[in-house]
Amino acid sequence: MIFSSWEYLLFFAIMLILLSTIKIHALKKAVLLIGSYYFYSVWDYRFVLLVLVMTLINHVSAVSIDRSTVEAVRKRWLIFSVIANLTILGFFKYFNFFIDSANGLLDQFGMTFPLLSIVLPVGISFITFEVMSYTIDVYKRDIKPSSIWDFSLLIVFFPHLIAGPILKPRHFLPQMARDIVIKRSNLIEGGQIFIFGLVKKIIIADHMAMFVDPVFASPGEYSPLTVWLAVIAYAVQIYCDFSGYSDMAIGSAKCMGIDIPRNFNMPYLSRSVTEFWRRWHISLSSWLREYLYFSLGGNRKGAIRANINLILVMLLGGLWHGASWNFVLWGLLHGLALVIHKLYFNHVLKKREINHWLYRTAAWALTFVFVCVTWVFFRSQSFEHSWLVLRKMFLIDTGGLMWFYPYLGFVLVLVLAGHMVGVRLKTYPSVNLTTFGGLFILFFVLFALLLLMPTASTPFIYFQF
Amino acid sequence: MGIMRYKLAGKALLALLVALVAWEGILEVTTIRTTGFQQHPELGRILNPGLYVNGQEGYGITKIYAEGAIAQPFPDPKETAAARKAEYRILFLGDSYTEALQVGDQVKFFRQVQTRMPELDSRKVMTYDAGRSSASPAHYAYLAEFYEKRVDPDAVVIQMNENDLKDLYGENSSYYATKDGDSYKLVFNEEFISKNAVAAKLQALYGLLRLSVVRVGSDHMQKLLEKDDAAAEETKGADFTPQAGDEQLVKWIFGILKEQYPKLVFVFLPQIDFQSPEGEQQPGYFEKIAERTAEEQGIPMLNMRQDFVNAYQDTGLPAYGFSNTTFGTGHMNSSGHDLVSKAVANYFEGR
Repeated sequence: MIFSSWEYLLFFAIMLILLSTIKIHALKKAVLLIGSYYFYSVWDYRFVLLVLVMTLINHVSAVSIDRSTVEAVRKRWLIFSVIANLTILGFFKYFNFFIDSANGLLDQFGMTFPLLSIVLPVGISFITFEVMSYTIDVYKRDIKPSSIWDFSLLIVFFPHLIAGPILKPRHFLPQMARDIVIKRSNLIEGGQIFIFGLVKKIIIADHMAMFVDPVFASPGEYSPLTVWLAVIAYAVQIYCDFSGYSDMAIGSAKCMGIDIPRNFNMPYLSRSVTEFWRRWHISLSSWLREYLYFSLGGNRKGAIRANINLILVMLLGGLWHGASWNFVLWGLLHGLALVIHKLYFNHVLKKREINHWLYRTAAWALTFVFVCVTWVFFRSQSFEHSWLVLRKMFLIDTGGLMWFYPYLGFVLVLVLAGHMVGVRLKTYPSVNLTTFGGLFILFFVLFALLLLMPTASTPFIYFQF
Repeated sequence: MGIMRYKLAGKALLALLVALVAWEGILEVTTIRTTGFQQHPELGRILNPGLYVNGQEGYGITKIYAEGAIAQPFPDPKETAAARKAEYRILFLGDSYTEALQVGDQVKFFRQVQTRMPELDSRKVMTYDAGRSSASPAHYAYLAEFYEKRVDPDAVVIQMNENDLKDLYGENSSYYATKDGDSYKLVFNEEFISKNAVAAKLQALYGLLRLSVVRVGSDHMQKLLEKDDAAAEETKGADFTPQAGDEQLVKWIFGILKEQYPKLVFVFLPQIDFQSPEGEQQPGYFEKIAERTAEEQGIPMLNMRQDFVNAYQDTGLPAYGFSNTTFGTGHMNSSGHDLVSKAVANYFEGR
């Protein structure tokens, strides 16, 4: 049941009707919880039990941490919950990856371990980070443990369940204490945010997939320019796909009066990799900073250790995305770039600020090209495949079919204009639905969704994580 | 409060209509502008005369003339005998690959044949395109008398592909073949309206399909409601199971075509996986039957397989597919039309 399906719209409408009809707050939360579990069970009912187990482990741990005044006991419970969460994630997501990698080495000695047929529970990476942030926050005494029902909702609240954004417990849980009221103003605002996300997904991301998929399927067949265009198209696709999904999650939650912070903030305007990570998948980067980078010591243990921490965090961030060395390399490259930028910032920019437009443009172009090149590892299935794409991009292999996907030009203009306007707006674009102009824009966009819909729908990219 | 609500409803209705009109204008120029269809007493369902714009696959503006003639009108019925004698007429029959709405009129292969070969036997060459989407050899056999009377061709080129021969069985078209004792018979399906399920179910909507907004919208709506439709369309014919009588049916229909059209040439457009090595390319099931049967019955058949593969190896450009869809799949692009026109002109000029 993806957001851009009739099934979801029907499910969501039923949820809204129920929530606006029921008067008792506790009952509303119960409906939201049952609805969220139903939403998850539609993906794979077998894993509902797994989510329940994770909820229980972390609830018990959080309550025990909170109750105890003995630091050693509190730490033991924290370690228990972290190990339990990572074991579950590790088994489902990384078991075969590590066995396969080990087999690559052991094969020389005539030994191999069998791989298991493991089905990856949808959203497991997001759920793991969500529950861990809760337990760690309780341990740090940033929050008090909530009721198991509110904690369950934090995990399975359906708009963010499958692919985030990763919610901060201290931001979400207080909202559960307030009554859930379905207001007309929230419906209008949330509905418009949802449509905005739908536009990104259907009109941009799914169309880009029609160009990106065939080129990435056989990069050797296409000219270097076409491969570059496909990589840029992928940069647009992954942004519109994931930020579109996040917008739909934020819009859905807003309709129910629940605020979820923005997950993207015009990332392709960034003029450094550091800035990129402040604008891209904000909920993940802030999670990594708060719960991993700071836990490793952050920059409190000297410059060298801070740089190592940064690389380590990005390596793990890469691995979090998927069980593949490609993701590890992607994370490593971003980690190295962050370190290089940090050194450059500390040794050059701190002493002399450069604000010439030419410098700003060059910084933007360099950042964008770097991000695009690293997307190759993110998109490709293997190192060999990434290498094929890079050989084309850097003219080691030339020749091949010149393919200019005309829709890409239109989309690039749209995304660039969207970024320029978005950075000034600071909020989601919205129209006044009591004016003719506002109503016209709404109907025009709704027709665009129907009329510009591509022939084949593409699943959300981040669902695999 | 009541008046405010009415005002808002009025504004909403007006905004809806203006948005519809705006999209109609955009789609007519960029995506699709159909001339609509008419039910012809002899030809069945054909396109109305007018300008047809197609930007969904490739981009082409096609002028449709009376009786479904593509890009060039059929000869003047009142022509003199001397005028008729001065022309060498080649009639092109085929499905959507001959109709070629994806490319401009000058690019369509029938027109390129005329340009490449201005004269033949000291007569001015005139080519006529009667291609029709979803047509199969059953159409051409059934309509032989009409075209003989209307175009009086000196030669006939019939384009076909794997799906056209599968479509011989297809009841979801104007004409098809069906078993009749030990042989077969041709059926004219007068009730066939449209492949668009929404329009077919709601015949009152049929006229509305001329509106681009309704046409594109209903197509997309249908895909949304029936998720497997897109996949089914793409693998059209993939679920076809070879039957014992397939070869007999092809022999029968080729026999009829040979009997009805004076100088007949087949052009076969093969299915090619351009990314597979040449050695692994396998001719299709009906491709093999068609080649065998055409040879047995002495009908020249220009199979484009080798030409397409060679051109792909030389230029890297597949004969099928467009920049706004995917290269290698779909209808013929300008490269494909170019290659077919060369092959046909070479054949007629005896090269």
